[in-house]
Amino acid sequence: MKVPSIKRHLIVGCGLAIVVLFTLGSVSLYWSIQRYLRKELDATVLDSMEFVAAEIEYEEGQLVYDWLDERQGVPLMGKLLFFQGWSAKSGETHRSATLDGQDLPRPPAVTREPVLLDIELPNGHPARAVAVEVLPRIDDDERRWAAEHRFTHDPASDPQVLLVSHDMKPLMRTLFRIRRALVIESLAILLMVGVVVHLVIKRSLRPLQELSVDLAGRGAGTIDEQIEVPASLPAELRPQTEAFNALLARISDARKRDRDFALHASHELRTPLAGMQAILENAVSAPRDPADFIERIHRALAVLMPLSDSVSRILHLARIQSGESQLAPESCQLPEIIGEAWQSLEAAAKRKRLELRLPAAADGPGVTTDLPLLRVLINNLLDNAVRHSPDGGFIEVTCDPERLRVRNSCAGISQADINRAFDPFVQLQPGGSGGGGTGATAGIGLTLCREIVEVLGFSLQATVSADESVTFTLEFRA
Amino acid sequence: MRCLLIEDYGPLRESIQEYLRGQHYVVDSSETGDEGLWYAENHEYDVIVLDIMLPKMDGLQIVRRLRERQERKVPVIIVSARDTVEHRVEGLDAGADDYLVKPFALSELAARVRALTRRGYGSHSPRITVGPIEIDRPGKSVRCGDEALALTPREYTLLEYLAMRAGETVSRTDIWDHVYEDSSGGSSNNVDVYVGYLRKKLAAHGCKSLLQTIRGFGYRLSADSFTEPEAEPE
Repeated sequence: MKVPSIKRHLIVGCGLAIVVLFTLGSVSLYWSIQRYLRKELDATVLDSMEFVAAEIEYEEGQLVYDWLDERQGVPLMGKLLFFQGWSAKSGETHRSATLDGQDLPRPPAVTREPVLLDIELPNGHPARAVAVEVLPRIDDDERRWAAEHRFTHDPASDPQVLLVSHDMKPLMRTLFRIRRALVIESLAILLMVGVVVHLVIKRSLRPLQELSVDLAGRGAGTIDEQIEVPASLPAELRPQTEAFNALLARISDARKRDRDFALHASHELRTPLAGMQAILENAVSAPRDPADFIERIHRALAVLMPLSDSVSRILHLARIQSGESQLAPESCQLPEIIGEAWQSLEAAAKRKRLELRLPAAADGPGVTTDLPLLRVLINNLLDNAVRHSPDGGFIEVTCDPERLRVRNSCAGISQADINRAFDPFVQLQPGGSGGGGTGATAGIGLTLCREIVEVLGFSLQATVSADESVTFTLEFRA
Repeated sequence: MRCLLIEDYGPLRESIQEYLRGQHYVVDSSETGDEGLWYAENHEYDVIVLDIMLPKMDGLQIVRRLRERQERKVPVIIVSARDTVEHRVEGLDAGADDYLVKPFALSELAARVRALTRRGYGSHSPRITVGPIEIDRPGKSVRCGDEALALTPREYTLLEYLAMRAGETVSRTDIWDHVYEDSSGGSSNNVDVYVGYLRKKLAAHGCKSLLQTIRGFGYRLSADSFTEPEAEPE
């Protein structure tokens, strides 16, 4: 398939437009020149005819063509003028010297009104001619002579048919030169337009070529860096570059999200993996009795179970964020989900002697959303509450169809601290003993919560109260 | 050698503790940052194994505090899930001597701990030789001349510590601080008991003169004091 080319389009488009315009202009100019020159020629022929006609006269009663007498053998008014006269009565003819004894074609019907016509000269050249019937002139000397000799002239009885012509060969040659000049000029202009358009396009597209080189030379680390718009970039290309930069910014954001997500996910898994590896490494580091082995395997399994859950949650979130899988909204009873999430935290809460206030399971409010993600969300919120409640503290969970609140005692936390808690790798430093959760979400549990909330279209706020408690409020409508 | 382990994730903390004890280290452990810092500031440790994300005070703050306050720079190795170059640079710039990314092999952690404690006492070899005694630290074994010396973990730890400081007079308190766990109870008098056990085993291999009692100060393990035992008359 032929690739569209701006340069080709511009050269062809401009060339065609210029050729058409110039051709029309040239034709128009040529036509005007031709018309003018023909008019001039016609005027010249008419002038010549009047001049020649004035020289047909009587001398002492005889009809004479005076110019023949005076200029016999000498071309009158140059070599281009040809004329011939015929006596209508006698058929006698008189020719100009330029005819060299040859005849002009006699016009068939001639009146005293001059008629312009195109003829062919005896030498084969085209000519412009005028035909007219002329009566011989009687001047004052002839009148005196006629009075002295009692002679009566009768010019009306002897009219003369006069044909005066002008060779058009030089005119045709001039017109040919004009045509040739116009054609050469058109071709030269067309060529010049092509060269100029080529240079202009090349110069205009040079910044784009520089951008191409810049983009082609980018490595994986700089692939989404913004393009530096050169000052020489034409205004016509700036919107495209800006749009491309906006696209790069979106790509950069998406890559950062991916990187952050990978980082968070990696961190989520590294610590429990290290724990499990250490347990197993210890198990095989020395000969042991079967009971000891079994006990160690149980310990490894205890680490593996929440780790497996974490992997499932992270994969679920990743698939939804990448669009690979869709949210699957289901309706569920919130107290039921809260109760399920609490089961995995109960032992840790007991160790810290936490007072627990959960909503009653019966007739609890329902919510319709993606259930696996909601489980992760609620589990992480409760885990966070267990981890950061001081020994002997409390956790209170309340819910209605609009929102879920998780409140726990947590001394020594400021609102600024709690706002930072959603950032990855930030550990809250409350006055309590901490560290009592599952340990599998340290540092990024709330970060994952924030990402899940965005995916689900919820909102999540954390507030510190004067009674040294922290409340996480999950609004089911953002 | 005495080691402080500060790690909040229970299964990992317990496993590291168990492994290092198996390597004859005396290990104290803490699961929160503030408690860990208290241990570090109030006890003598040969190495600190430190997580970064800890409740109450993070590991980087602990290293910075230790580097600001302590005259003797206890070697610190950070173990963290944060694996980017920026995180490692941040940890080392805070004052840590080494950085290990989770998950890791316990044997690697132990090798790094050995390297740090060795450097802490100006040694560059994994073997310590004092007179006829040669201690293979990676193998946790001791030879006296051509014969293997069978020691209990506590005796090994005591001998290793004295050998690290060979030629120096080491006080009972120093020995107590480096050889006994904070939770083990007892007093520095126990040091005399274990020194007695160790001396008896050394004597059985003709190396009794290596370990001297410096009255009023403590003990000294020195190759200079070694004398070949007299051959028994046939």
